[in-house]
Amino acid sequence: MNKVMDPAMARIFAAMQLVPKIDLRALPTAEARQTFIAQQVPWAWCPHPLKEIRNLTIPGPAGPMRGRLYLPEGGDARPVVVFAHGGGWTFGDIDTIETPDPLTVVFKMKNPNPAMLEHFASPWNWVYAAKDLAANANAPRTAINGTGPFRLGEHVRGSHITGTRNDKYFRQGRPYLDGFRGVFMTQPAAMMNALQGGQVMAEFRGISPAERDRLVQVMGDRIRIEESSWTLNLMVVFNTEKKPFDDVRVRRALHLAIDRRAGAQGLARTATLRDPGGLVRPGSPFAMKDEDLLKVPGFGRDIAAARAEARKLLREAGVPNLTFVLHNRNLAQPYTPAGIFLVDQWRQIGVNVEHRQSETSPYLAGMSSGNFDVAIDFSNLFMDEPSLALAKYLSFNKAPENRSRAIDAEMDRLYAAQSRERDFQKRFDLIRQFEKRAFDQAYQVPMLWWHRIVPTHKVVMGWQMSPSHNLGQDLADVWLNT
Amino acid sequence: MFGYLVNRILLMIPTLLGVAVLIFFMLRVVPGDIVEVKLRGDGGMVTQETIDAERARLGLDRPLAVQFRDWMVGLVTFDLGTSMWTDRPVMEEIGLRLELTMQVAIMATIFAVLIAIPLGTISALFKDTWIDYAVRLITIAGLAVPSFWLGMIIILGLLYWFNWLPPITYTPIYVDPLANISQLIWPALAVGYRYSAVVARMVRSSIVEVMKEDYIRTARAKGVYEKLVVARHAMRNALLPAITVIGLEFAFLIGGLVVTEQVFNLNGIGKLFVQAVSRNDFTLIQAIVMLIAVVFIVTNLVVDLLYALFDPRIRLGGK
Repeated sequence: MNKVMDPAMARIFAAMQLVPKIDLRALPTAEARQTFIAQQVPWAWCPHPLKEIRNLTIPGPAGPMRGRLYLPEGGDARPVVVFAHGGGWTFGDIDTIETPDPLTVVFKMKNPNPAMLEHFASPWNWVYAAKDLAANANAPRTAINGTGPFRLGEHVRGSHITGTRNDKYFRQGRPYLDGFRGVFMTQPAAMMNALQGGQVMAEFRGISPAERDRLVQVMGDRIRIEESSWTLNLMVVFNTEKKPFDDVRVRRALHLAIDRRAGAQGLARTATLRDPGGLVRPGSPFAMKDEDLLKVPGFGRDIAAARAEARKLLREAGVPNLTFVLHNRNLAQPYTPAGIFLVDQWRQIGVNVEHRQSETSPYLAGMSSGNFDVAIDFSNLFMDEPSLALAKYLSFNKAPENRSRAIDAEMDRLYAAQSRERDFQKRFDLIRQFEKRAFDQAYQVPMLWWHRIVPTHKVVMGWQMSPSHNLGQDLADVWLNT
Repeated sequence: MFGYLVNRILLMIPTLLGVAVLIFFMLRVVPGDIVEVKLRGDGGMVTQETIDAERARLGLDRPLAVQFRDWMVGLVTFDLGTSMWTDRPVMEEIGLRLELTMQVAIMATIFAVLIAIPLGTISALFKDTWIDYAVRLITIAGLAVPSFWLGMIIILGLLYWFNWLPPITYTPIYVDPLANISQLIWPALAVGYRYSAVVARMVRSSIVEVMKEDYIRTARAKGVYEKLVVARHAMRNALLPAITVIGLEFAFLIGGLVVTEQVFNLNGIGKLFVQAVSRNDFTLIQAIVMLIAVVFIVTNLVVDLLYALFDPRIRLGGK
């Protein structure tokens, strides 16, 4: 038999060897499905254009069998891959996808998944026409596609992008604007000057409090400032594979020593940080209520008592004079002020911390390889969906983005349970149980949630502020009151 | 002369080879690669398999020797590869920005030369007078003030006094000369001030030295007009060190305008370089480093040729 393997297939097999060996049969069904879904991501990385997906019924000796035909673009003279398995059970929440007419897609679910609709709206996923993928399989990396309110005019990399009104936009009468011009600016000071000088009319991602104050002072009533809590969160992560951070008492001590209430007031003046909160964004439907949060150790107002408890825990753990390096990202907002704040907080319980900031690449390399003691990590959520927000707290063998590298089957079980629960109150309670476990074990704990400040010129009308900078950017409803 | 040129061009090869080897291995010593930044830098939740698949696509999983071989083959065939961040040819990425950077560098050089040579000469001729002190004050300030800071002051001044700012996107000079000049004149001035200070001080000290030489005394003894003594005898010799400084400063401007470009929001090579480094875009960093190395080497060659032009005692490659 010829054993020559296609180079692409060889790379896939090589990658498969690196996948943690998890016996899916040994896991509860719901948990196994979650694991399976996570494992599917790499194979969806660069979808090959498909001409057709057809469900088949194949006659068999013991009766008809179900099958599915994947027919690629590019003619029929193609090699054939036959993939068969003996049945049993299958994973993934989507059972079948059908397109009964050109305007309808029917997803049939195997399991209830309350986050499914939100996942369809994820800004990280793109819809590409089959004909475009057939013409260029690399299209998702290099081409812009869609049915948005504007057509791509010009994109000069590193400089600007322009869009012109899409007259065939599906919403009648929209967009209001004839076009837009987006300018790429890397220097906040240059952006502030451009805003002040009227060269740009809005900065939609978010600016710092100091920048807001400057604009208000100089521009007065010509500038509009909108503020919201942000679906971004800074967390303190303890490397549980390193001593003494494998000891829950040490982790809890460092968690308790952080005065988030005072930090929220002080940092809000200088940094894009504000709200103390649990694992789900404060103010969102599944968030812990503030009166409940105040009762959680580490989030209350009695910081003296919390720090006394922290010192006691460190003594019990045998590290009363703990020293470590805080691994942080070298970005002015909000990482630097957050790092300085934490160093000060831990100094107050006798802990000596070296604050070491790195550029993004070595910072991420350190996080991925586990080459750190304690780190400031972040989560960037595109929406308020608990299954998204809590995923970072899943066990490390399921979620590599859990930088604490902790394995906790109980948290995995609670995560799976909430992800299937359709009843709001029951899901809310399950999330509280998950949160309690997270705070008790303190593998990684939220520090403060970010605060979004968006300046727009007063003439810019119709734009809606949202807690996510990844959403609401299509400008379809924006108009100028000049 | 021709033999000298050929010799110098051949000598470029080992120099560039050394730069290529150094930059290739130095980049790979630093922890982290572009895939982490690309897929996890904004908080994306991706599996290790996705990271590995992207590394394989970019060829980062191949043995270092294979990657190095490809880099060398690419260099020899003038194919420097594609940017790992944008998937576009690196020459396209550089070409998009080189025009702007070259224009700023040329404008700054013209500004510096026009200011520095008369200023340095006057300062030397009026040595230890109030004129000399004034010029020295201006030039020392030019050395002390960072270009980006001066750029920020220029922008704030334009905004405060004229309620006007230079354009924030680039228009080529052949499309709209006015828009082009109104954007680039300010960074050229900001950079050119420091540049002119360096050159002016060099011109001053050279002329002061040259004016003590015997041939200057001889020229004066022959009754040559003082203006001719300075212009024909002193300047020609005094300019030689200034040419070296002008050449080096020009080469520096091609990749060294990092902060100034960001202050003026210029889409130039300096900004591209910083972005490439922060993203660990190996192919792009390697290409920009090679570009800067070539600019330095070629500039040095041009400076050496100009030496021969200005100083008849120098016969390049002559017996």
